[in-house]
Amino acid sequence: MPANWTQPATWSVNQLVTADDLNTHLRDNLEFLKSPPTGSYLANEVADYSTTSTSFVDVDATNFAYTLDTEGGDVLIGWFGSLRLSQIDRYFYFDVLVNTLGRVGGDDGLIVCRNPSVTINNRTIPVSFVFLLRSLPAGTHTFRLQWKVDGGTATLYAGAATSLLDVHPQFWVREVS
Amino acid sequence: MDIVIIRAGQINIGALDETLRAQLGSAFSGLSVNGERTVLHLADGTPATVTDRARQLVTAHDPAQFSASQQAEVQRQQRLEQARGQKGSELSAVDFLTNPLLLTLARKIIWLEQEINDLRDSI
Repeated sequence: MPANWTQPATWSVNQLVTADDLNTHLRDNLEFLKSPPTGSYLANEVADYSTTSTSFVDVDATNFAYTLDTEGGDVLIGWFGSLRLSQIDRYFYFDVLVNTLGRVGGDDGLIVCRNPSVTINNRTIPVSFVFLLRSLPAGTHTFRLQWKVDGGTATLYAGAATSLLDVHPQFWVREVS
Repeated sequence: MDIVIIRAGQINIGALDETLRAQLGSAFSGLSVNGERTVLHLADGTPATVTDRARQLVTAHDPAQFSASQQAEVQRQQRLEQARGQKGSELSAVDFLTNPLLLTLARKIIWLEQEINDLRDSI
């Protein structure tokens, strides 16, 4: 079981330091810092993901979704993947939904990509972001990767043996301070 | 609200999306597919009659049937391929030396043809 974080004590001159004190304030805190709350998933699916949704929806409500007990502070969120959009001059968007906050980007999300206005068959678009979520209160939080399009179909390649496109997207979340 | 439908076999997601939008209207904001799992994204409070209709449409979906826009795209591609096959060899300015106006026009077309070929080669 991962260790919990305890606010380090302020020590006094001649204070008796017990084994419990050391275990709580040194061992447990160091163990916590070595293994902070983390969720990550490297997709290797039987099929790629696709969506036509024009409002933000989960990419994968099971795998690209993590519930973490955080101790309060900053959380680093990362994502990368390779996509295709079926129609020219269309847009796709990504954001992260935190159950206690809502979508962290708001509006049209954290990142957008527009397909060019000329026909390029099977154009593949790499997308990534790293987002620092500041001052998240301590508690239990669920993080979900979400996406939408403004038209057409977006396909996220997910290690599904698609010829030349058998690549693996990753979504991860880690408390960092 | 999301409705999850487990459905074996391929899905023509573009055609199914067009069908659902036409049949369900603004209650439907899109669908997501991952393998046999199809998720329909519907407005909160969508009546059961509409969700039942959505399920029926997904179950009855034939991926071999193109939507109207997909058919139009196929026809556009066919016309383009046909035109490419009929374009002949590249123009030569030498063939238009006797007419200065035609020569100017031919040079413009030659330039455009080469630019398009360069763009196509670079994709």
